[in-house]
Amino acid sequence: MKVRPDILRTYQSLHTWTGITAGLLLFIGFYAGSLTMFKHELQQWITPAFKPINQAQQEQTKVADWQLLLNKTRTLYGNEMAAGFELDLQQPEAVIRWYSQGSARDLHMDNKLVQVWQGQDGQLQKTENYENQFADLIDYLHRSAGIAGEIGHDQAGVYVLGIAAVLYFLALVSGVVVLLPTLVKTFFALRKDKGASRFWLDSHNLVGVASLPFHFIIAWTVIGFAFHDLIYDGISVFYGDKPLFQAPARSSQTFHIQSLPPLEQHIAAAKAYSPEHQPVKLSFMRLNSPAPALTVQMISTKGMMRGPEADYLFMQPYTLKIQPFTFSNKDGASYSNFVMGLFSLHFGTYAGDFGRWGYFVMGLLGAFLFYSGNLLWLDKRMKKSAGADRNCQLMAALTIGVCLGSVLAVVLTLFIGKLLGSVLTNVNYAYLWCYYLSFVLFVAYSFWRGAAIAAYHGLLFLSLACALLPVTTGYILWQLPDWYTASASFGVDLMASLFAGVFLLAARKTKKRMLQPTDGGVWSIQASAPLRSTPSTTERSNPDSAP
Amino acid sequence: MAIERRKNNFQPDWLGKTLAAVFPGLAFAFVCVGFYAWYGPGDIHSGNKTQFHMWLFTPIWLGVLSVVYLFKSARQAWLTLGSITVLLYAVFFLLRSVA
Repeated sequence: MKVRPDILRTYQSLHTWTGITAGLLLFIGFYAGSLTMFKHELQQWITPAFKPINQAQQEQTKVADWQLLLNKTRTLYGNEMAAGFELDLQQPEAVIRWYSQGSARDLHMDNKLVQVWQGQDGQLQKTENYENQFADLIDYLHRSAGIAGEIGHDQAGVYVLGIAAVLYFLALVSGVVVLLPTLVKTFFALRKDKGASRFWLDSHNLVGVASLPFHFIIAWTVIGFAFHDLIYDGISVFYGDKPLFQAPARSSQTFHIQSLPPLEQHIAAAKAYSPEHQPVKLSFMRLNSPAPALTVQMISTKGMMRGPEADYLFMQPYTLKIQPFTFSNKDGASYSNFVMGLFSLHFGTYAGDFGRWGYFVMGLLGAFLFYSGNLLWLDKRMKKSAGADRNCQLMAALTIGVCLGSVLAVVLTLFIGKLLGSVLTNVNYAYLWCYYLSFVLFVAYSFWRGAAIAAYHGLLFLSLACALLPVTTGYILWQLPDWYTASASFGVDLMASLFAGVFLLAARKTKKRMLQPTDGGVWSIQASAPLRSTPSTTERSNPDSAP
Repeated sequence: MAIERRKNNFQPDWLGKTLAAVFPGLAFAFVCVGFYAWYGPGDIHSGNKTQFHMWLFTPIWLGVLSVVYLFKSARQAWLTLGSITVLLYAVFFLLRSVA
């Protein structure tokens, strides 16, 4: 397809600059997003959750057991738990949880979680601990790229990624426009014999075009997630004096937790609403108020689910009435299906475990897209200016530092977190320190040694750090022989070993490319070191600069 | 003659065209959603439709942002997008005041 050259040039620059400005943020958003697909497995790896006391009792706990526990608990702690409590029906034994400090909605490092269960002697057991928030922190990294701070009641990083998503959309469109003239001929071409740069470019194009629909959806939804409040404000202009959403009818009656209907009725009402779903989690809120609420998380293995992990059903816990914004599979619910379908498309919850693995891979490929895009352009530009372009050197160092540094920091946090989990009372701060410290140190290292050496060493560090994860599991098993917790770590350990191999391979490839006769690109040691480029190399490689 | 040639020439005008998408382009996307809210299928009072409107806004605006660089100049982008937007707002509020 022919595109006018001036338009082609315009979109070429658009692709370059949107990519360079947003690429690093998006890299973190994407690889961390991949990790969120398995955040509960990672959480389970770093701190094994509740272990069933009675191993033989493998089938799900009966509703009657939950009811018994709830009755006992609310007579003792009724006022404490009226603000909100949670029953995770998938647990092998009945446990009631609530927050004595903080809440599930806010990410605070000091959230305290109370757990109550029935001991073997029939007495209630109660513990109060700082909630281990590794999974939430991974999620936070995904949504904010690790940028701290708040604007209003939103996280500042979310807005930043929202803007990055706009640039990302432009990069997608312009990338396709730039590719149009040669797309048909070279789409499936992966030319290995024309040099490494060509191979990287071919891979970048192939991944970009092949996953285009996924990327359009992600860009679209991220902008919606970040700016929905502002967009609603804009839309309200056209609603005149009509409200955007009708306020829920407030009951004049104040309810009380002691008169809560039996759990059986909530479960039956949820099942009646959607027979193909299985209720797995009940969250009660504001029970001693005129506006009590119950959210039922429901899982369907056959169909699409519209939340990150489940479908959400909203119920009035006393009258059992289903509330607005509950998912629906009925005909005529086209708007709600469309809206909730978008959520599902972002969360990758429409195809069971295949979908999860698919999104995991797509997320990593997306991260590769931004990493390769930045480096390809820097490489080309540095070759053109023969190593004298200091801005390129700094950008290359930043690219390697931020990308590899962020991944390295997460892997090290897993390692440190698992070791310190049983030692510290609140390990969440250790997670934060470990992540940010490793990240900053590696970015500094990258600026010190330059992109090429930092890439090689970073990949080696990464390989080593990944290899440490299964070793940690082994060490803990040796300290405390407990096959139940060890078996829960197995999947993560396997993937960590695999990635240790992948990073080692990448490190060796990088080294090979570094040792080739210098071409002045990103991968040549001298050209890429911002603090070490001596005047002599600059002069030698750039003879035209002399008058 | 110089002016004549400039007219046919394509100018990048990065900042001007981007701003055209950010200001009149944004207003254009909003008024499109406004039309859909009142005259598109479905009941405007349904909360689910309101959510749909929020989602509808983004692709319209991104569409404007993607093609704004095809205008010959920033001036042309501002004039075209601006006049279409003003016209649409006038029509919208006229229709609403009649209804």
